[in-house]
Amino acid sequence: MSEFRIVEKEECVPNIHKLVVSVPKIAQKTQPGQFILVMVDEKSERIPLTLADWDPDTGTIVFFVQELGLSTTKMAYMEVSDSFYSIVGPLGEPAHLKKFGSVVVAGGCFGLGGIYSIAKELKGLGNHIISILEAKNESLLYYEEEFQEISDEIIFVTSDGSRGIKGHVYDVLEDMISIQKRKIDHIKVIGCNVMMSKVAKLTKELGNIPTYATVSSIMVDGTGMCGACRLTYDGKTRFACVDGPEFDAHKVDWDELIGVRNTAYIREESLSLQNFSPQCRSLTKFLEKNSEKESV
Amino acid sequence: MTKWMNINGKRVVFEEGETVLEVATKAGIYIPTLCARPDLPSIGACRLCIVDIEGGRGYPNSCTLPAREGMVVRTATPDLQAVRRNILQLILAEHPSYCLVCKEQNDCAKLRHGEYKAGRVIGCYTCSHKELCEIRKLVEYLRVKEIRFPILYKDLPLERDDPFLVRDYNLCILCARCIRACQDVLGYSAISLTKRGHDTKVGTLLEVSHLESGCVFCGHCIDVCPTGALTARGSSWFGTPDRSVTTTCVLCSHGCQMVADARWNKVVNVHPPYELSARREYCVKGRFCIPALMNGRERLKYPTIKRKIIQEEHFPVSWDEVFTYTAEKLKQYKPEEIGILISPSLLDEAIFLLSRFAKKISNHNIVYDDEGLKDLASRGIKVLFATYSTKLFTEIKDLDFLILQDIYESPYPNIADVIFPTTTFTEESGTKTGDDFIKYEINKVVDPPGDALPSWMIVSRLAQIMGLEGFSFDSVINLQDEISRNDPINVPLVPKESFEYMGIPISNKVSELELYLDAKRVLNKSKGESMLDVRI
Repeated sequence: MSEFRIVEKEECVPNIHKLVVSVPKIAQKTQPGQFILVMVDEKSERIPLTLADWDPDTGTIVFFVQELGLSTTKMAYMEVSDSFYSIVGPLGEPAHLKKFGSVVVAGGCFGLGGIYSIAKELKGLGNHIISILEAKNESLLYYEEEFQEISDEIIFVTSDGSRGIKGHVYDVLEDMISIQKRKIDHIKVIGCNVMMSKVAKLTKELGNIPTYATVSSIMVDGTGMCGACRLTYDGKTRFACVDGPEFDAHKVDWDELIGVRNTAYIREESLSLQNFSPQCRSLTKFLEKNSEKESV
Repeated sequence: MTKWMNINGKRVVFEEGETVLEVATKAGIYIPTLCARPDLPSIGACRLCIVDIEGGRGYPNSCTLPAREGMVVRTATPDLQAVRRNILQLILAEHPSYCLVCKEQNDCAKLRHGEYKAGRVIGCYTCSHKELCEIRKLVEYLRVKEIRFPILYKDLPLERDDPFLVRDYNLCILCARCIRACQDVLGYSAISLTKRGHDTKVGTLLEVSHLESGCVFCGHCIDVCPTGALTARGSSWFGTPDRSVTTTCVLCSHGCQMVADARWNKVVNVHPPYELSARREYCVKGRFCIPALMNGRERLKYPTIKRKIIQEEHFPVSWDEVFTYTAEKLKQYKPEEIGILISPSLLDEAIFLLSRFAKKISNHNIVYDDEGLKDLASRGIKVLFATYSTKLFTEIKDLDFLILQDIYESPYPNIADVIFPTTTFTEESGTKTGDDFIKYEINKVVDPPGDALPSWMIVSRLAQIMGLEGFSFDSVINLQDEISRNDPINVPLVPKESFEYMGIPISNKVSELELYLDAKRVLNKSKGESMLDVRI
C-alpha cells in the first residue's frame, strides 16, 4: 500500500490548514478543478477536497482543509510525516477553461485554495484575472502572495471592513457590474454554498453573466455509485462527483443543496464528535519533558 | 433598624454589607454585568455595572460598591449607557465579533441557527455558545450596531491537549470568573491570570498542562464562562438543546443534582444547575462522561434469546416472547436453584420489585456484588437473574440458565441465554436512595434506544406472566406508593471512586475518561503515589 505522507502542514489562519502531501501519481495527472477524496484513518469518512496546487516534479499536492467536523478535526491533529489512510484522485471533471477575456475569480473561506489552481490556469490562457478574496476579518485572509502573482487586479472583501471593502463577494460584483459598468465575460466562484448561491442569483439578474461554481457536497465514493452528492441541475439529477464539481451556477438548485442535501446528516455528524478523543498530547509532552530531565 | 436607599427613584430596603448590585437585583432593577455572579466574589473586571451616585465622583462599579444609608443611585442614565456602549465595544474589539457587524447577520442567524461545528470559533456563527452568550445579550440590550475600534484577533493557540477541556483564549474577555470559581470557591488555584498588560491571559503556573496544574477537571470554569472560551470536548456543537431536564446523577451515591440537555432525543451535555454551578464540586465522571456513556453505539436495543440454528446465536425477539420463554424456564427450577444479582446502580423501584421477585421465586438473599455472587455460586444455583454482567458468570459451574438484564453488550464472554435491554438513569423516571438515606428524584430526559424498558417494568411484566401476585403497577407513581408502605431496603452505596456503571467500566465507553485515567496514573507514578489511586 502506498503512503500518503504529510510533507508540510500549517494552520495559515484559524481553522484553515494547508497540507502538502506526497502523492506522485495524483500530482502528475491532476487538472485544474479536480478534487481528491481523503480518508484519515481506517474508520474515517471520505471527504472531498479540491486541490489548490500540485507539482509533478516533486510529486506533492497542496490542499486546504477547514476544520469543522470529526474527520477534519482528525486532520488538524495530524502532524508532519503522519500518513493518511487513503487519498483517491484526481476525481471529477476538470474546470471549464478557455480564453474568455475578463474573468472574475472569487473565493471565500476554504474556497481560496480551490480557486487558486483555476485562476492560475486561466491566467496562463491569457485571461484578465480579477481576484476577489473574501473573509470575515483581515486575520482570516490567506494565500495572498500567490494570488498577487497571478492576478491582474486583486480585491479584498471583509465582513467587518478591516481590509479592503466591507461586505461580501456579491456586493463587490454588484458594484463592478451595475455601478462601474465593467464588462465581465466569465465568473468562477468557490466558497460556501450560501455565498455561491447569492453570487449566482446576482449575476443572473444582472444580465446572465456566465457563472461557474464548484459546489461543496457530501460525497462517499466519488465515482458516481452512491449518489450522496446528488443535486438538481437544470431540473435533472446530477452527481457532483462525476458530472461536476463545477456547474453552471444559474442552473443549480441551491436551496435544495443547502437546506436538504448538505444538512441531511447533521445529527450523525454532530453526535460523532461526542466520543472523539484525540491523543492526550499534554501527557506526551509531560513524558518527553520528564525523560529529558532524567537524561540530564 | 431597616436601612433605605434610593435606586432610580425607587426606595429600596437593604442590609448592611450588601453591594449596590445586590440591592438592585433584589429590587428587580437590572444592571448589566459580564463578570459579577451572585456565587462569586466580585472584582469589578468588566466595568459594565457602573452606576451614577448622587454627589459622588465618577461612575463606580456597583458590584464592589457597598450600599449606604440614604444613597441615591441611578443605573441607566443616557451618559451611563453611552459609557457602557464604549466599554462593550472595547471588549468586542478583542473578541471575534465580526458577525455582530456583518450585514448578513439576520439571514445567517436563520441559516445557521442551531448546530454548527468548527475547530475554533471565528465569529458568532461558528460558536457553540451563541444562544447562551452573555456578550450577545448585552449587545442587544445596549443596542450596539457598530464597533468603533478595529477588531483584533489575538491568535493564541487553541489549547486542547488536555482531556475533556478545550480552551480558546482568543474568545476570553478576562472577566476572571473561571479563576474565582477555581480559586475562591473551590480552593484549587489551578488557573490564574498570567502575564501582564496586553498579554494578560488565563493560564496555569509556568504554563504547565492542566493535568499537572492541580486541576481536578470539575468543569466549573466552563459553567461560569460568559463566552465560548471554555468548552467541554464532546459537549459543544449541538446548538440550543431541545430540552433541559433537572435530574440526579446515579454514577455514585453522592446524589449530585444536574441538568441534562437533550438534542435529537440524545443526551448531549450534562452540567450543574445554574445555582450550583460554582458552589458544589462535581466529579469528572458526572460532569463529562454521561453523554458518551449513554449514547454508545453498542447499547442493547432489543430483547434476545440464544438459540442454536447453525451455531448458538442471539436472536432478537419481542418482549412477550422473551417473557413467556423466560417464565417457562424459571418454573422448571426449585427456589433454592435460583439466584438474583442486583446492580446497586439500579433505581429504587427496580430494586424493590427485584427483591420482592426474589422472595417469591428464590430461597436465597439477593446479592449486590461479585463477592455475593461467589457465595451464591457456592450454594449451587442453576439459574441466575443478573442485572449487570461480570466475568464471574463463566466460573459458576452448574449454571443452566442465565438471564441478563443489561445496557451494553457484555465485555466478557457472553453466555447469557436471554438478554433484556434496559434503560439508563437518563431514560427513566424514579427515585434513588443515596448517602444518608436521602431519596433523590430521577427524571426521564430522553427515550431509551430501541425497545429497551425500565428495569422495574421488566420485572413487573415477567412476574405477571409467571402468575405472581403483587407486581401489577401501571405507573411508577403507584409503585412508589407501594414502596413507601414497605420497609426500606438496605442497598450498598456506590462510592465516588467507582468507575463502573451497571458493571460496565465507564472508561470502556468514554474514550476521554480512559485517556484521563491513564494520564493521571502516569502522573501519580512519577510523583511516587500509588498507580491505581486516582482521586476524582
